[in-house]
Amino acid sequence: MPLVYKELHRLARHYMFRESPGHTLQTSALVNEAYLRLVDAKNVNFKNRAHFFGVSAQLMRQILVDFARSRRSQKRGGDAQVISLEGALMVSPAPRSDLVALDDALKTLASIDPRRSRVVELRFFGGLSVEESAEVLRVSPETVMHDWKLAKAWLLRDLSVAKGKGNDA
Amino acid sequence: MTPEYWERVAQLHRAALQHCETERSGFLSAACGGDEELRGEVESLLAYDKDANGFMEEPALEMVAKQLAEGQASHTHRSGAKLGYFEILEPLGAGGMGEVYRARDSRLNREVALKFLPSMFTDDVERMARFRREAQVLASLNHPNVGSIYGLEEANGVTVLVLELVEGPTLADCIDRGAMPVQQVLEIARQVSDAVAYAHERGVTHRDLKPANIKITNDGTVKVLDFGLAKFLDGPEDPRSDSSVSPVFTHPITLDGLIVGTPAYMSPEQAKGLPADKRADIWAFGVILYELLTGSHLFRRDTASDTLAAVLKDEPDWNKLPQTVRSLVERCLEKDRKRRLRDLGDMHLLLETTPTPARKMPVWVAWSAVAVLLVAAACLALLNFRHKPLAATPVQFQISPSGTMSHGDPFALSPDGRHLAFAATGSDGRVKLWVRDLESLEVRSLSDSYPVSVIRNRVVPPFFWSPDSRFIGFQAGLKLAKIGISGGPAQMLCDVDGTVVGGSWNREDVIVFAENTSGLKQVSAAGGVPTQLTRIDSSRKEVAHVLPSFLPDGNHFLYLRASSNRENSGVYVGALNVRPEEQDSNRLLETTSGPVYVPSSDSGVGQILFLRQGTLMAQPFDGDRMKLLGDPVRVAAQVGSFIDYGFFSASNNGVLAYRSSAGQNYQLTWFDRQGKIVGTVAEPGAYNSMALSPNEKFLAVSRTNPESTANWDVWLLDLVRYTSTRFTYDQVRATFPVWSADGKSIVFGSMRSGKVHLYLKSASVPGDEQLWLKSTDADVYATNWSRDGRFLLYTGENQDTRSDLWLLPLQSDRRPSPLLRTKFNESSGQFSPDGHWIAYTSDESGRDEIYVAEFSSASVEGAWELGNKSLISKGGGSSPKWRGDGRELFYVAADGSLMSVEVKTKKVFEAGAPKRLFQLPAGFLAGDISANGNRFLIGVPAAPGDTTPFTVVLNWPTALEAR
Repeated sequence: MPLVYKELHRLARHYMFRESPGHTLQTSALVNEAYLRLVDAKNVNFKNRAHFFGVSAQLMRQILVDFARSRRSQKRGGDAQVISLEGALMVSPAPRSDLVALDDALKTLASIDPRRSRVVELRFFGGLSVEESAEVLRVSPETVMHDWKLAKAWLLRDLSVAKGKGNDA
Repeated sequence: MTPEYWERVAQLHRAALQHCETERSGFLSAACGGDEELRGEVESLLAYDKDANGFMEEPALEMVAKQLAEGQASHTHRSGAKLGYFEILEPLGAGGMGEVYRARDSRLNREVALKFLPSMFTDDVERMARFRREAQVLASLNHPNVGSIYGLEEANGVTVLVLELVEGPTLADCIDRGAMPVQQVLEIARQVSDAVAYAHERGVTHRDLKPANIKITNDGTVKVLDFGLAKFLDGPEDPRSDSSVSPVFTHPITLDGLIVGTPAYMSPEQAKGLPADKRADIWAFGVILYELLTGSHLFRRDTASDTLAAVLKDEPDWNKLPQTVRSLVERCLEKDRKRRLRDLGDMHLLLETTPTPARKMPVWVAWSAVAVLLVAAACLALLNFRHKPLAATPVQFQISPSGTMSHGDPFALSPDGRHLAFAATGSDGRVKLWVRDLESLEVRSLSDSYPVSVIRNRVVPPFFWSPDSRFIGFQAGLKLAKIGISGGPAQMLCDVDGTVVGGSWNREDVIVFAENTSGLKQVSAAGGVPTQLTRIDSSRKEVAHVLPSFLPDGNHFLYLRASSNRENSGVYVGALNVRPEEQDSNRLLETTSGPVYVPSSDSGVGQILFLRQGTLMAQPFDGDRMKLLGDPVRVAAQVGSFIDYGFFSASNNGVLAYRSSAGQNYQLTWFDRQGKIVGTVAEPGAYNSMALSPNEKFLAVSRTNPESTANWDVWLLDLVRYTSTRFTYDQVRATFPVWSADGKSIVFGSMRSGKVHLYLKSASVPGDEQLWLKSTDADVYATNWSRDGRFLLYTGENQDTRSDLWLLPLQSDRRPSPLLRTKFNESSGQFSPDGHWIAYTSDESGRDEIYVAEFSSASVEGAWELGNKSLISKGGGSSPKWRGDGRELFYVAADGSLMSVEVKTKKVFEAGAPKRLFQLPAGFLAGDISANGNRFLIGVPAAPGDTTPFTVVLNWPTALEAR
């Protein structure tokens, strides 16, 4: 976990201090850097490029979801300490940015549609472009585009419905 | 929803999208052929399409980083909300550092500004720890032109800075309005420079001085805000400490990937990624002056890159400035910081109309006592120290290792105290030998990678310095080698067998090294064939001879003999050119860690540094007469060790470095009787003891705190709701929690009063801790509370009788009485559920075994005693635990197996033969068991990766004399 913290904080500080929009180049460079460090590609034996991306995306997903989960459990903090926070409106993360809920939903999708859930994993967690994902999955870019659209719609619907049912504990 | 059905939905969805919106409905009707459910499904998904456009378009990694940066949505506070004594009134704005609110302090009845720190900072425990220390310094700043910091408050994972509320326009507003008259600017400048000079004198650098941070109040007072806060936002102290060179990190725009401060006011050295010092504030001051006087921005451009380029290259147009201030501003905006104005205190001296280039610069202000706590100041102290001894106060500071040290990775101070060498894994995953210059804080790795194969649990063996501090001796594969710290390849000295566990190098260039398969050997530092000096004696149950340390005569040396027989383990004196049979076999000092001999500046009497249960001790030793002088003295607590290698090192001139034992993280794991993993508890942490509550819904654990690894606290883990709450808030060690029989309270040991005492605290009702037992023993820890609630068993440790079993009766006057006190070690006392028997560990047989003895009232009223004991374990055992019904006893065998013994406790005690349940994982931490004896909670070592800092102390012997 310390490595994740370090990398995420590196990135986060970047976002905190952006003064002007001309930072996108640095952003992607930083993201790539963080990505490589977190995934630590050197230690795994890769058969080919597609394999590498596939494994990295999975690893990244695991890392980020674990991270989000651990923070969530920290937030549901326990007994009153020295000062209590009364009457403050604590807003839990919106379903769209709740990584843990998203991961759960993605697992559900995977049970009926492994390929499309893979597309989400590659694109969202692995940061791959449409072309790169198409190469990894050995389908056409158009297929990836549609897979992506469909998966997003399904996930969004699943998350909205879950939130509506008050699933979030 | 089957996959096949879903695929149909998918195909229809895709096809539908190929029709334009108006035609879609018609298409779907036809394609679904009346299957309303199918059509409904597709249309529902299509409905979410639009919304889904922006969904997940940003990679997860960025999303999480942004959430961290913005501190998440969970910190939206309503006005009227209360935070302890503060009532939130209205938001004042959000900056790079979190949201700011106006609030009322009900205690002092004044309005303040509350700055909520984003969770990103509060999560970074090292940073928070540094900041808390820093906050004390900042809070002490008291000057009319400096915005005060009142304090730092924390609650429920929310951290707020309480600041002086300053209202009024900022200088940024002033600049926007246009050029200001010179006199007004000078008045503002005077107040700002007063503030800056005041803070600089107290060792505080602003680092983010800019017009937005400076306000003018109603009565014309200029206040500089946020002094010293930017500092703790930085990355590691030494930006070059990360050896992996990546294009992003060496890009001049970012320091460690981060822009610290506002580019437009950043000094050239900051723009280049160098650490900022007070001179950066001077630069910013110059820019601000310029902008106030001209009413326009000086270096600010459209993009950050352009801005920083301007800072580095552009020369300001001096003609825009009035003559009187030109010299001052020029001096401030000197791009070479060595030539820049250093001290604003004499600002007015530079307002001459005819500046002379040969003017003498004001003398640099002296460091104050506060400043020595900062690493930069410590460097200065070291510089002084190198030339002559400092005043007799010990100076202490911390250094982070570069890369990650695994638990047990070695380190050593050079004899001249100028370098700290250590082994650590770099970011490329390879273990390297690093050398850190303690003055310049520069760090470099000695060779491409540590040329040693994986040995001894993957821990790098200890290495040693040459007496002239120029070389390091270490093991390279199956050879002993030396390498110069200024560079160059390693030279092989001789062959070795097994692991070289330490060595020592004398002034005649003779090296003594420990070969763990045979004993100590000597060899010439120029290389050659080694000769055997000592040989491991199995008749004395010796296991290893390790970690030699030369004495001043260069002929004798101290070393550790490790033996399974405690009587034989300890420090011995050896000599060069003597045959193994003739080496002295009288133990000098009892310890289980390798000794380090430290000579003193005045002849003869030096110190032997060694560990005693995690405490670093110094034993005065007459090196000439080979005699101990007096009792050992405590030097530092919570110093870690790996088997016999203690995490401490000393130079010959009073520098000491040590690391605490927070290294090993464990994952608390549930195992079943077959040894299968059936669950985990919480996340990995540096746990060291734990206890399940009687109802098994809670786990009390003692762990090192993330924010201060020298500090252990008890936490309560709710096993049902998966939450964890801190239970003790000591600044010192709080360990070995034990639950009361009714599950309502917890007893634990704490060192808060200097010695370990036992305290009781309620687990459910917030309240104070009661001091329960003040023991005269050096160390006490509770082990078990009888089920009937009448007694507490605890272990006491002292010099003479070592570990003993003690009893604390809970009902009467609570006078403790010793239950079993012998010269052997008795510990881990556990009552049987019916309270008539006690299981415990004792090493009276020469090694730890489990015994059960009857517990009864003695003939003497009010006293208790143990009856005859029965030996339960065979071949070694420790950590006994009863099953809830008293019919089974568990313990850990010497080989790390979990054992089970069926017992009968009806009238007479009977025990069956121990049965092996399963092998515990290597390096395990013993935990607790479920009452039904079906599940076992064990700490499994988690992956190593330790960034515990080194504590370096200068002049450490003087701290001892002061006591």
